[in-house]
Amino acid sequence: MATFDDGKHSRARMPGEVGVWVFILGDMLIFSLFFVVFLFYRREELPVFTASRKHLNQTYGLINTFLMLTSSWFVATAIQAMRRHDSRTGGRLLACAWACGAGFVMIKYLEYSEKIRAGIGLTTNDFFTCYYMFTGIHLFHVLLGMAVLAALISYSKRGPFAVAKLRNLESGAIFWHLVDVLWIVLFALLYLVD
Amino acid sequence: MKSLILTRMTLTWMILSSVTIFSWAVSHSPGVTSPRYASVIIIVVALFKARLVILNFMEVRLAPRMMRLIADAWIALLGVSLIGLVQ
Repeated sequence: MATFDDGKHSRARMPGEVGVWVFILGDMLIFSLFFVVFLFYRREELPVFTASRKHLNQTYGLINTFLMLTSSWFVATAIQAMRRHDSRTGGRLLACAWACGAGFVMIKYLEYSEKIRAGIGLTTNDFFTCYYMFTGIHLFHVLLGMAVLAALISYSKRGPFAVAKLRNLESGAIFWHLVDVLWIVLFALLYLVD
Repeated sequence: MKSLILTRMTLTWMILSSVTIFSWAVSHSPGVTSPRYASVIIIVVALFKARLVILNFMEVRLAPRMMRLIADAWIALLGVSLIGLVQ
């Protein structure tokens, strides 16, 4: 494993595949636009946004944040285990990450149901349009990430460990961490900024 | 197993969890600071968390310098834009 940190040494290495990073950069830029759009509208309609935020279930938001952070720890630690050719532990850790993802989806389902029962929908106001659109697109990423994790679990069990295999595992892991990064910022903007 | 737990990844998770609680406390303690400053603190903490995940979990820390520069540039640009909009 490369340990040099100054970038001058050839031992600095890019985890995962280049294509995955290009996708991740693109996705981050799209979400950055969402974040800016959200705060732009908030600036225009501050009273509406401040009042609407109070209708969000803060507990659900906080639980989901911990689920995301913990799932990322499971994935990062799974990669460490895979590097030691311990696919058994690695597979179990990935399964724990998948379970955190499932917990996230479940909480989101409860949260959306609560809102819809209270008569709060996509067109209630600009705050909730942003809320449903951005968290919905993020939820799609979570589901996609769970499919990736499931594929990684099965992939890690097949065949011997090689550089290419580890690289593929890293690529999947990086995508899951992206889902975590996006949620960190979404949670702060939607739930916490008053 | 112990060697998988006593790692930089676990330390990162602990810091991420702690600052999440700090951010939550800032958001839920009206009067301690003005809402405007609270918003700036919450955004800075969120971007700090995002950077920790990118550097440590995604291992950009070990990647070529260009990747770390791109990651830091993204965080800096986003920080300036978001803080500018909540001011």
